[in-house]
Amino acid sequence: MRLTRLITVRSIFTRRLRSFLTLFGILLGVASIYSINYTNQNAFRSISRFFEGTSGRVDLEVRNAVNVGGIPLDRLDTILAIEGVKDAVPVLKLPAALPGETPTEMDLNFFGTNAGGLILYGIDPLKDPDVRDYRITQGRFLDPASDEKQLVLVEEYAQDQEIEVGQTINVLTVNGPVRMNVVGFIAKEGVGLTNLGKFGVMTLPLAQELTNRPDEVDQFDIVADSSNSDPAFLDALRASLLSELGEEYAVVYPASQGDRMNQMLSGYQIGLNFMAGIALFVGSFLIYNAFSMTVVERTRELGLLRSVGMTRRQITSQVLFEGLFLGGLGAIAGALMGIAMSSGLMGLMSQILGQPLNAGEFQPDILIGSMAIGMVVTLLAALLPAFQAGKISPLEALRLRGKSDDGWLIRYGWMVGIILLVLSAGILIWNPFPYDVQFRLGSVTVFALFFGAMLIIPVTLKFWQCLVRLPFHILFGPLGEIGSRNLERAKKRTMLTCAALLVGVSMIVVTTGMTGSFTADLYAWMDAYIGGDVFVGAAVPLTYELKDELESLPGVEHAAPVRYIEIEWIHDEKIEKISFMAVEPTSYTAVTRFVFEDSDLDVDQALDEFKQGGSVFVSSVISEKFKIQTGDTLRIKTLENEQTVKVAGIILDFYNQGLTVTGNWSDMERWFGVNDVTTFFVKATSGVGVTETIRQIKDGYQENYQLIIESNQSIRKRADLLMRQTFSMFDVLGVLAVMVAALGVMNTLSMSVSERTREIGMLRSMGMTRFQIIRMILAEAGLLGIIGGILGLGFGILLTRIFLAAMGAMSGYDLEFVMPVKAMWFSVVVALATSQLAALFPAIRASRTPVLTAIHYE
Amino acid sequence: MKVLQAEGLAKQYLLGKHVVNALDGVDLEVENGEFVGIMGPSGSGKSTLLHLLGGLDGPTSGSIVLDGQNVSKLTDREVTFVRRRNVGFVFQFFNLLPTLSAEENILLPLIIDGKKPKEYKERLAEILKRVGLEDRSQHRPDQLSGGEQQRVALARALITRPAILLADEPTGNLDTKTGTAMMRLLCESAKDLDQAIVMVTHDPKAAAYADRVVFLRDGKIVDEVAFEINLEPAMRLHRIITTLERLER
Repeated sequence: MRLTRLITVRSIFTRRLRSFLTLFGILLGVASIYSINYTNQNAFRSISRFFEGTSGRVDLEVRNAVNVGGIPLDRLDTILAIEGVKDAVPVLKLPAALPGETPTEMDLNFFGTNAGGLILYGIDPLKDPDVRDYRITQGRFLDPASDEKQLVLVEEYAQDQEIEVGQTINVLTVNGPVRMNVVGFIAKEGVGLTNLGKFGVMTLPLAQELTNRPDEVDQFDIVADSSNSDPAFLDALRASLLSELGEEYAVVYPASQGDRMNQMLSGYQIGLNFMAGIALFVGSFLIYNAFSMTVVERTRELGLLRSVGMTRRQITSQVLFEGLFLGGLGAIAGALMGIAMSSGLMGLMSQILGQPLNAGEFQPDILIGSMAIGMVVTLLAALLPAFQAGKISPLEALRLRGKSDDGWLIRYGWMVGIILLVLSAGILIWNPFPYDVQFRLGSVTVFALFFGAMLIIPVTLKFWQCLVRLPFHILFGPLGEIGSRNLERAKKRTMLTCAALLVGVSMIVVTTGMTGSFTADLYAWMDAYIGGDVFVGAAVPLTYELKDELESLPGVEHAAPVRYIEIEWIHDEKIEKISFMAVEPTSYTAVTRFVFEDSDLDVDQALDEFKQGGSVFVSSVISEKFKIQTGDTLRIKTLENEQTVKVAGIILDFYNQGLTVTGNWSDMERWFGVNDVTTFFVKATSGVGVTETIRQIKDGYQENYQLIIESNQSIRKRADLLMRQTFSMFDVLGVLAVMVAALGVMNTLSMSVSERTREIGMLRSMGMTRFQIIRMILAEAGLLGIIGGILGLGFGILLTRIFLAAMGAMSGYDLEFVMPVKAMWFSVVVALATSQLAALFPAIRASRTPVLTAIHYE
Repeated sequence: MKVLQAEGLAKQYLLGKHVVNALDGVDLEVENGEFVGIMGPSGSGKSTLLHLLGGLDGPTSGSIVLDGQNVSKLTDREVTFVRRRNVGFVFQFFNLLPTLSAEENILLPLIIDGKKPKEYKERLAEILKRVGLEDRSQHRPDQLSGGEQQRVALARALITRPAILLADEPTGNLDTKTGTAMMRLLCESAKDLDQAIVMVTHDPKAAAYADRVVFLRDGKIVDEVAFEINLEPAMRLHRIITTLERLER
């Protein structure tokens, strides 16, 4: 312990900058991993918990398998007779809205759009409290014996709307406005959290009356005999229910409603996790770099310790202890920073998802896991330098100059590098493994790619020096070449520093490249999807007849109705949940257009086929993911069991993450019994401005229908902002990677300058001015920047193409690679600027060292 | 012609609260082609004197006129240019740039001064011949012996034809035979090139190659020995040793 205190701890506090850089590397990795994992897990849990919370004690839900249309109320007896069912209650859901509550714009978030409005449940007031908790805060609950049209609302929502108990209000439903009596309020908890608290309940008969569905409900909520924590029992019960009720029914877990959202989120989160891994990787480079340099700096000191009797093992242990000490400190600091970062990330995630995420309880497993990873990585990064320190001979104490670091790694590592490059590039490009294996391998393969690139850097130094000779001569004068040659002195250090810059620059290119490619396609889709001039929606489904009313306005040339429903598609004997977007072909193509992917398609013929009915357009995502082509057929579940439809074309469509088919309006009516409208896309009459058209629609229909009317230009701007926010996290990580690389450059140059103190003194004695010293060191840094920047650019472009191809194969997002020209220039400039700025401090410090001090430096 | 005139040179350092008089009123003159040795025990101020003469440090008082220019009154930048063009240094530890070849190391002062090396081909060839490194000019320092490296250092010091060449223990890192060869080179340079040389050394044998030797103690010149041109080396050595012994008493 005394030895440790005397040697290791003092070394840590003496070399403050080096220790700080090591700490920062660990901190960055730990903070990134913790905050991203915490946010991801909390997002998943929040979504699942939300759906679990709102469903109360409900274990299973029985619904129509097609997901549209209801189920007969008389099936309740059948369900109650099944063994294992303790309770079953019916629910009928109605979208509704209150006058004056209509937002002025659509709510946009990661999962899509939200028109706001109320969700009302029609329930059995006597039985429903057995499965869900309703805490009455004012007034009373529903009275099944009362004839009046009773309504119970969530208190917070009611107060926002300035509604009091006992008040009679107008509630807009699908069949028009209804006067209802507010009899009580419930707390915003449990089921009161449904639709973010914009929720209420009424009696089931009233709900059936208001929706003209006298004998139907939307679902039965079931409480099982056994406790909720017995999944095997619930699985068995689910199977019994399906067997008894038949194929036209679906039996699902309440939390599974969140599955779709979690699935949509998971791809994004995988990307974030990957970036966190990169942050750790870059951090580990920095740690290895800092430790290597510490060992070099202390060579004579360690040689002296060996000469007075310290064993190799003791030296190695001391260095490892230093790693442990710094790893522990860094892990703690990283954890604290991660906790701070996670609240910011949670806020950003809430904004992107469009729903509040609870902070959740403290998760020690994530914290301990992140800290453990940080410490393990530090120890691993310190391992090689520790062994090298142990190998220092006592003669080093007497040596006047440092030894060259051209060990095996420098002399022969390039061969290993080429093998790694070829293998990893091959795996990434040709995908010889199944996709799930390949995705897991992906991160490791990328690391191998970077590692291979790093190993070939030393043998390519002469090439780079030749490449920059002329421009450096122009920029730095004749000292430019002298400066650039200094990178040959410590090739290992040069290799590590260039690699850190390479990774940082690659990350910037990848994030901008992927964002650019994604947004290019997204904008093309948005142009078509947010077509026309005005978007007209509502919280409550609109009637088809509104189309004619809108078109009667002078400012409206065409109004195209659009309806979205969730359906099930039978593919390879598995059920895929997708969206069905129903449009009226004539009015839709008058307002906007389909963006066809297949350039060989006869568009007119495809549109004719589509208009006739019985065929659909399939999104490019579905086409890519499931290998569906024009002319293929799909089996979709309908009210009449199933329907085989023909694929008339492949279109660009990212609605519901691209899992969408577009069908004919009349087919929707026939197959699913639906004819209300989610949205109208409106084309303004030529010569009438969009503002005037919006005014006419508002004046004519807003109050009656509680319409949300927004110009498509406005929606596009907000969608654009949402996209930028979504990708901003990746940009932040890319920038962090570059910052760490910059610290690595500063570290390298500080060390390099420190080793050459006497030499710099000699150059000053020969007449080199301070400014020339600075230029020489900047030239050295400049070459580091060039190597890191150009290699980073090359690998970044390669990785972008690979990731886009992999994403296309796995998710169906077949995005066209868009060469990120701006990113290319930006990344090289960033690399150069980083290297120059990072070199400035060591260069100025070197130039200021008094000549005599430098000459006599040992 | 006098190339160097130092008058009343003094240098004080502050060590904590204690003032150290490293030099205390030193006068020295050196002529073209003259080889002057400076000897003295540790702490006598010989290295300090050399540093002041070369503009590596400034005197507390006194003046230094080098090649007609009063360098003690110049700014740091101006002194730097003086060092670049008028002073050549040879250090004990060679101080060559390991990434440059011998030839490139020799040309370094010219490169620093913005000169085109191509214009100095003849001078380079002459100097390489003088130091006997024509066949080794493309080798890097780690491929040269200690003696060869010191010869490169000497060539580098001579390439600009400086007004004065200052050598600080030039044989301190060399074996006897190589050291002797180095001293002969210095001597020949002084004679053939009319080069003024001031050399600090603790080695009497090295000092014996000089035309005269100045002895310092406690920051002052306490004695001086000038040698006749044809005086035997053994006699020179004897006189130096005798002086040293006398000064020690």
